[in-house]
Amino acid sequence: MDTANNSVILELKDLTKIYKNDIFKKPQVALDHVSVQFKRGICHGLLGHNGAGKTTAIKSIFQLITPNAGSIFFKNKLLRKKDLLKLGYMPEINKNLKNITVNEALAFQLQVLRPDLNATAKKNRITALLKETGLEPHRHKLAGKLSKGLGRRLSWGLATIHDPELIILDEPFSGLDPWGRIQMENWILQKKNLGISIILCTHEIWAIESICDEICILKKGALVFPKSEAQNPTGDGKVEGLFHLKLSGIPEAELYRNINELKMPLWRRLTMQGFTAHLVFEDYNHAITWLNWAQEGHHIVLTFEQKNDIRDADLMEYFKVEA
Amino acid sequence: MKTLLSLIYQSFLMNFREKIFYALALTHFLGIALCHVISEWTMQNMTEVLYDFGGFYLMLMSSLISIILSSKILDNADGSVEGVLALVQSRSVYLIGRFLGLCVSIMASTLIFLAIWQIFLLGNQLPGLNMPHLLVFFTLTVPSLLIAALSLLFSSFTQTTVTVMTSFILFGIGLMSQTLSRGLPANASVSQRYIVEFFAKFWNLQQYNLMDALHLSGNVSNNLLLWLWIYALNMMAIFITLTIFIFAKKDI
Repeated sequence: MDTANNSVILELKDLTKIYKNDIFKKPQVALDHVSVQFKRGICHGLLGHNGAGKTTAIKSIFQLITPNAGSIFFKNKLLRKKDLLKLGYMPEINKNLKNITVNEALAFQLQVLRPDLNATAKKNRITALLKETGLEPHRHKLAGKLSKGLGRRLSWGLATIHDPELIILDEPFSGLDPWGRIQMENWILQKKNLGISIILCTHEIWAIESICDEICILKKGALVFPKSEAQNPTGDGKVEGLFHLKLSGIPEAELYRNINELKMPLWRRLTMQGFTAHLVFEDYNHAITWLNWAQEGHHIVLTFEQKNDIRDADLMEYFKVEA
Repeated sequence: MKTLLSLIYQSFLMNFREKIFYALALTHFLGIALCHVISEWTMQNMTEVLYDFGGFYLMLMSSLISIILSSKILDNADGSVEGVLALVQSRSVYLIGRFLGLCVSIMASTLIFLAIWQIFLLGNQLPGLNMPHLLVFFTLTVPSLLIAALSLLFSSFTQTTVTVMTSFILFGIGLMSQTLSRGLPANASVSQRYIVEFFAKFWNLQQYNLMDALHLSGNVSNNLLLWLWIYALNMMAIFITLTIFIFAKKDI
């Protein structure tokens, strides 16, 4: 892999971690020579079954564990402690300090990660974030007394308050109700639209489809998707270019009516997000038919693009692990 | 430096909001009230009981609280340690910040205790606390700081329960080592003698309790106080350095 590539914000190179905590058990390989590049300005999905090594990879990035081998590069240079200032981390569960208030937690985060800001700037930033995340009425509550959903909001706030260049989210949707999920998704998409790089670890397939631009999958500590050229010289065969069409202001019922009445081709997948319809097609001609219909009807076409995707069935295969 | 100060402040806030700290504040009242009861029962002079029992009580309670709180500093059961360590500060800054925060909390708790004591003394038309008294009282908190540092060292390589139990045992040994050494029978084996004398020399927590000397003579030499503090600070520095060394390599 080329470490001088400017489009890469973070790179794991041959990262290996073997846990040898218990002398009575055989060593457990958590990461097995994992090499992966995370590109700048896009959202990467980091997937894998439970125990695949996702959290170990994240902990290695944040220097919470020491890998046995391999290196981590941030913007083509070996990751240093001070680079962590530019990273935001939302842990898997609410790992917030219990005995400090929401306000104090955010203030501490800024004090440590943005020492350059003056007191007024810090205060303004905290106030804005509390409003954005809906934590304003809870600002004087102890973090340990927050509900799970509010705790996730605080975790999001802590991960993003210092304007990081790369945000690493470990299961951000876990424990959220449907409204909370939509809000979290919107926050992630907002950051993505601002050009901030995101690594999203999740088991939620809908989130992968609607948020992630690229995915990589870990299985039993090894990177299984995308496969390296050495592993897969003739091409993976499971990767496919799907056509994504996002339309605004069209109710779901109208889309179905088109299929029934105008005999328009059926999409492979449809996701409604508020007033936005996200249609995914396998066939280019099918996608073009819908694109033409939208343009002729003067509907708002938000995006039309081809993205490398992985079939749901294939994706499921990667999550299956023998007991 | 800003990070360290933030950590000390945060640690102080967290400790002071621990329920066990409220219990400590409550037992301060109870402790002093108990002195009054003991004085009535034993017909002893109230001031004498206060200095004798109250001093020991302060040392005991502060140490118990510091063992419990310090054992939590590196306990990542709820993942909060991970959350803070994922920020930029080095692990040594984290450790020192949390430890100093605990020291400040113990000192603040002692101040509360002394304020209650002072109110009680003045309320009973007894002579109030003066500067030498305060110095001796603060020296009483040294065992709690020492045991906190030791507890932190244990927690860097073992589980919280083991840390708490070991620290309690070592605290008891520290209180008794001098007495055990003096009462060692003449026919004690060499190894027995070495062990007891080792603890009496290096882990004698009773030497920080100068209440008897203060009560009897009304004053304690500043040189003695200075020596005790320097000795204790060196011990703490050794424990914390060892903890930093072990914790630096630990996977979280």
